[in-house]
Amino acid sequence: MNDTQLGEFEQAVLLSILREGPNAFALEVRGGLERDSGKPVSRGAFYTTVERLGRKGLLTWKTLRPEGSRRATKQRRFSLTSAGMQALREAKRSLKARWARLDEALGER
Amino acid sequence: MIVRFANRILMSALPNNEASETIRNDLAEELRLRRDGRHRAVHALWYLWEALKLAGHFLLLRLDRRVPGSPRGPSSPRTTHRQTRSSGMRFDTCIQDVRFALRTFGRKPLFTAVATLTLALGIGGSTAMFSVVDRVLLRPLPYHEPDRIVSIRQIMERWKDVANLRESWDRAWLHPDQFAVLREEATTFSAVAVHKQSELTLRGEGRPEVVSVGRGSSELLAVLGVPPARGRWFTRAEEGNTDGPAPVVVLSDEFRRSHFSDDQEILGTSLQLGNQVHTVIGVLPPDFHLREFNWGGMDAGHRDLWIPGGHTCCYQWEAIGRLAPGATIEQAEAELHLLRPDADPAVRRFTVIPRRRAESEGLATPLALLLGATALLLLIACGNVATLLLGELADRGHEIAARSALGAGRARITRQLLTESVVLGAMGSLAGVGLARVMTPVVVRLGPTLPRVDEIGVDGRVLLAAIAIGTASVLVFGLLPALTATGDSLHSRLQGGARGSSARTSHLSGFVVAFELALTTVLLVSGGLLARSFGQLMDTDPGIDAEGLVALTIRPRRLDTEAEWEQLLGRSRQIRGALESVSGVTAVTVSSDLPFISKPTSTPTFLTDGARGSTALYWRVDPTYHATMGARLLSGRLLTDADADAKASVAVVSESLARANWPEGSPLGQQFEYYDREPVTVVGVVGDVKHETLAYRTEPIFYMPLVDEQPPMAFAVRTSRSYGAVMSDLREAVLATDPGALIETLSPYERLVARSAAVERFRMMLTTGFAIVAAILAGIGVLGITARAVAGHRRELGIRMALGARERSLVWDVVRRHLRLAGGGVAVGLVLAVWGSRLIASFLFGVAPGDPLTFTSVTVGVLILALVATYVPARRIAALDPATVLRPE
Repeated sequence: MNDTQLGEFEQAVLLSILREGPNAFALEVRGGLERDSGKPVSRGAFYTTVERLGRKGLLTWKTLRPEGSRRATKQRRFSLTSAGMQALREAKRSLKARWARLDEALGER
Repeated sequence: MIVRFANRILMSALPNNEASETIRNDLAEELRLRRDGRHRAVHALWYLWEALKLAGHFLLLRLDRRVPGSPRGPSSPRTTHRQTRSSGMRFDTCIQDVRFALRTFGRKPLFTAVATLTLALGIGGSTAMFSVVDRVLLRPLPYHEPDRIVSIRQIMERWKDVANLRESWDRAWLHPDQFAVLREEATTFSAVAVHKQSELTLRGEGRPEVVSVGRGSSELLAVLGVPPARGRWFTRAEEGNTDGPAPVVVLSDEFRRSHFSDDQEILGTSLQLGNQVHTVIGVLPPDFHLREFNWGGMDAGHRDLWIPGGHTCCYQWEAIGRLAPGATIEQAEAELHLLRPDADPAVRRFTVIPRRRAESEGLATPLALLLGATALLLLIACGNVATLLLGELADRGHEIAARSALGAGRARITRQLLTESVVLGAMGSLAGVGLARVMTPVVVRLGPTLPRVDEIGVDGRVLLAAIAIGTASVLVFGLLPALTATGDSLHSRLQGGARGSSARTSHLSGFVVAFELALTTVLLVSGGLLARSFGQLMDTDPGIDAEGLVALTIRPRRLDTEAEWEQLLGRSRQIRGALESVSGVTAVTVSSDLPFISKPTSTPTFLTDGARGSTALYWRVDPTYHATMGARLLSGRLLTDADADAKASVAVVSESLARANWPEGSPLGQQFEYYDREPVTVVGVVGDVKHETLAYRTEPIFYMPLVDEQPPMAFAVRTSRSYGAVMSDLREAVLATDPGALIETLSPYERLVARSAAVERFRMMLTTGFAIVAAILAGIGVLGITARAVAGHRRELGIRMALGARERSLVWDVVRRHLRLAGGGVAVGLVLAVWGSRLIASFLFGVAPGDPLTFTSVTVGVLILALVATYVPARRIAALDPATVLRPE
């Protein structure tokens, strides 16, 4: 797998960030993932994937304090980089290509 | 606390960078969102669980990364295949093994929980106990060159017969004159000092408070080798100046912290102690303690303040000294005898003992016994883990055989089992560490007064030792399956299941269980004896009717003028009146002393023919005293108002004094003398009353009418209302009459009596606690091995059933086989228990060490335990259908 090819979980993470809008907090992103998949998402796996996506340059973040919070806790706000958007588009295209012409074989048409 | 603990785990497991900080913050934020004010503990536990999972994930990840060649590790194209194999594979398979072990344990939650808990109990319990023993008995004292510090005492042979002196006949304190000779002339000491504890009232803004005050001579800190943290200690010139115009005081660090702010300039400030204003000249370092022997035991050594002492004429002082370089204890003792700093050397001898021994007097035996009990518990725990692991062997025979068949070598399987043992040991140790942290403060708090109690914490070395013992047992017994199982031929294993090795291990586990039952018997007998003894103690008649009786004492003030004295006498009467008017109060009495509160001091009595009578306590009481306390009148009459008004020389004596002084004939009308006063006539005899503790022997006593010598401030109140409601009313009644009164005691008598048996209760609870845990562990052990052994005999039982053997005889056969082993264990245990009960003989009250009831009930109990634990699994097999049992596996 080359660096910009996405694993399934990586894809889900990027999609969840995209859905939550720019500057999404980790809590919201992970919550979105759990809602989408309908099962709990391990924190460890989530953060490891986020780090990896960051290393690949698909994801970026700013460390900020949440609005309205008086507590001095810093949290990360995630956004997709243009490379991240490109990787998602590529994943969607390749998925579509793989599914093409298989509807009949799956008995769905 | 849980959240803080979880945070600490996260801090140590996650790498130290900003990303980790935000991960921790995310989790904290989630906790905040979940928390709605209710179920805080549940949320805290959730947080801990999530933190543990997160920490585990990152730790495994970090381990993985260290492995070159691992999928997540740093990869280098130049790494040859061989290199990868030699180092990388080992790490990689190690992690694989750990993961596999965790999965294996996950599949057997009951086994894992029991094994972990058993190990944790053993490790935690023994660490907590040993940490206490280590600090109290084994560690050097927190002074400079502590081995050179000694206690100097006198041995007073005559005191052996005097009630309140009997306890300290071989450790009498020194008179100031003796001290003066020692400090000037003794050459075997580089310094000698004296000290004693007292209490003073600290007055100032707010409520007056009683503070513990040490009085010490000028060389005290030199003897201990401890410099003050701030300012200075007393000079010799200041020693005699406690009552002079400008007395000085040195603060303890704790007192400084609780009464002053950190940045406040303390030196030179004033404190009003008693009726005098003292100037602060110094502060002692934190944790400065100096214990003294007083009233039946060593105190905890804590003093709020220190004032100069050593010169006052009439006190006795506890003396300590620092041996001069090169001097020995023997030389010091010899020099003391030569100096003879006393007029009557025939009466007293001097003795010098190491300070450390002096400080732990009376504690060594009880602590050593508790330590013995914990060691037994640790052994039982190890034994139990051993049987659990041995039992595993039977289950895993097939799995191991299958893995060998699939190509796993002996080394590989051994390593896997080793990893499992290490992981199990680590889990047990981790839980044990937690338990030790929880248990150590509990032991310290429940226990009797221990020296250096503030220093007691979980000791790292002790913890390591306990973990080593626990883990070693896991390793040894965890690896047994590898050594025996992998030794069997693959063929026989796959063919015959686990039968061969099962027989071998069942033998071994049989012995382990017999050993456990033996130790359990010892603990149960000791616990049973102490529990019986405690029961006897609580059944002891204190001589008063404690139910509905409340003690209230007010600290007497120093009286300087006649007018003050008159005023206080009037106030005592006012307070009594105020107490009587509290709703629910049925009677109030007043006396010079009260049982279970006053320190008893006794006086010799002399019969009229000049013969020496028994020594006895001497109290002055109100005529209502005996009726209010619920004392029994045995003959004659009680004191009356007429006696009090006439200041008559009449006394009511206790049963034991009557028996001692007038063994034949009636004591009524007899006369005796005390001090050098006029003869006292006995008018009545009352039942004996316990004065200090329930366990302490009953002191003879005589009661005389109250006279106006000292305004009495000890009240006993009988009430028909519940304590909770009446106590605050009583307090308010006193403070309304005298707002400056300092209430020293306000407690129901039932509580005072129970508290007097606190040490015995602690000892009993700890030992029976150990015994019960040991019995549970042993029960689990017996149940486990019988179940496995019975399972091992399935075929045999099936064949016998098919051949027509009766169910009952089959069950009985199995039970008999295992009971024989259990019986052996119990027999060995009883022998050990006879020996052990002699060690605790001195703690027993009203129960003989060889108490037949305890021994019989423990024997029967343990055998029933073994019987039930054997019968249940045997019954289950015998109830099966032979066809099912014999069906090929």
